Amino acid sequence: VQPESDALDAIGLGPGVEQSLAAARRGDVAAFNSLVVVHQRLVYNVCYRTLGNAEDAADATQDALLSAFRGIKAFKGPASGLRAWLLRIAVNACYDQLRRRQRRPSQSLEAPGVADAEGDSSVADRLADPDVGPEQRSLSAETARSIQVALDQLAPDQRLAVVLCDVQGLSYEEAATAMAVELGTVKSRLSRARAHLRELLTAKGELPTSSQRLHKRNS
Amino acid sequence: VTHADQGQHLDDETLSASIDDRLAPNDAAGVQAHLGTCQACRERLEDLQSVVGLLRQLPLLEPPRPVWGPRLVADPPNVVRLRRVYTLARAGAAALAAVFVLSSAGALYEAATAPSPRRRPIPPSRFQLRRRRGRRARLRRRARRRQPRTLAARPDRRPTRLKWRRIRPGRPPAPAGCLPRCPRCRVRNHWLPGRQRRPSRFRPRRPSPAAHYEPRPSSPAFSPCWPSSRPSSFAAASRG
Repeated sequence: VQPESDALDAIGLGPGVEQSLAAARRGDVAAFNSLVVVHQRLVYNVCYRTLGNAEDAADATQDALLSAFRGIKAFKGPASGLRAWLLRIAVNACYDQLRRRQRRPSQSLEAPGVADAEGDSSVADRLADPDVGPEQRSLSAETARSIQVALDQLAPDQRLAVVLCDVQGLSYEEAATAMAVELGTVKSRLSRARAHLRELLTAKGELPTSSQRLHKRNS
Repeated sequence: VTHADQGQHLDDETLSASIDDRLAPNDAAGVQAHLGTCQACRERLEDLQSVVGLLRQLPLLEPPRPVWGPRLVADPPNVVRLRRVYTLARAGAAALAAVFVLSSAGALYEAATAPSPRRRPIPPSRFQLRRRRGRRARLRRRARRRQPRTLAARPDRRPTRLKWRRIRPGRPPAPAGCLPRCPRCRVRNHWLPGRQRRPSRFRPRRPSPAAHYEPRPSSPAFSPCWPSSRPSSFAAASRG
């Protein structure tokens, strides 16, 4: 029972989570830390994929976690909804960052943002878990970079939909909660984003062409 | 579904829903049927699937710097300073408000307990004055009624008809060395050289009776003007 509950705690669903949530609502920083430490990486990755820039993503994550800490009293609900709530705050922080970047467009011009994070040699150190499956590790740095560039070319709404649903693998319902839109809106944004990404990635040659696919099917 | 029936290609939303298995069961069969016949739609579906596969393979990254920690919970110094200023301002405002409330309460209390301020008397109207005059007269009458009455004539007055008179407090005695009154007109300075009786404002001056124009006594000593030292013609006639 103990390892199971530990594992549940680790993904933010265990029995201790409700207690630490109650403690965090009373203003306990340590309890909030224990809640946040599970979702911190997810929030950062959502911000990173949305903003395409490690610095902006760190800023947005920090803002999101800070406002989550300030507003944890306003979060009324079971601990299972905590992830969607945090993501909702993160999405708002991302929109804030995007708006800020629009106000100062010089920074976005000089910072393509992808190269400094994924082209680095230290990216292997920063990878969340080094022992993921080989098919995940097989994604080359160039591919990841071009995918990120393609993501950056999407409209922010579509980008967020695709980041939440495809990159982070959330369900439509959770993504709808995080983006505060209807389920149908998520679906349409996601489909439009995927279609757009398909065009972009095909233009970059990241997707297999029809002849390659034919070859693959034959072999 | 309709797409397959109408021979149209599947739209993006249907395809992406089919990737996530979000199609209704009826729709799924139609989509499968269409995909079985339509090469273009199948290729698009495969493309979309590989897009989704690529996206799912994106690695999870670690943040380049700690994004959460107790140091971040603490407010930046400018916020701390601002908050201190706000706290001070709030305390000052509260103190001011307390002082104001207390002082106004004290003023109210004083106003409620102190005697009403002495107001300047309103000058009486003429009706009031008239009424008061009547009242004064009534009082005077009442006081006179209370005094004993006598038939005695007032000795210091010139002889008049006997009347019922009230006994009134006598005049104060004349100071020593004072000129006696003229028994006729009851004026002390009657004969004083160069001095006339002060003319009254209200009574018109009557010419003095002829007796007043009698020749002045040569001596400055006292000599009353009435009755004259000479026997008058009337007295001589009555005497026979």
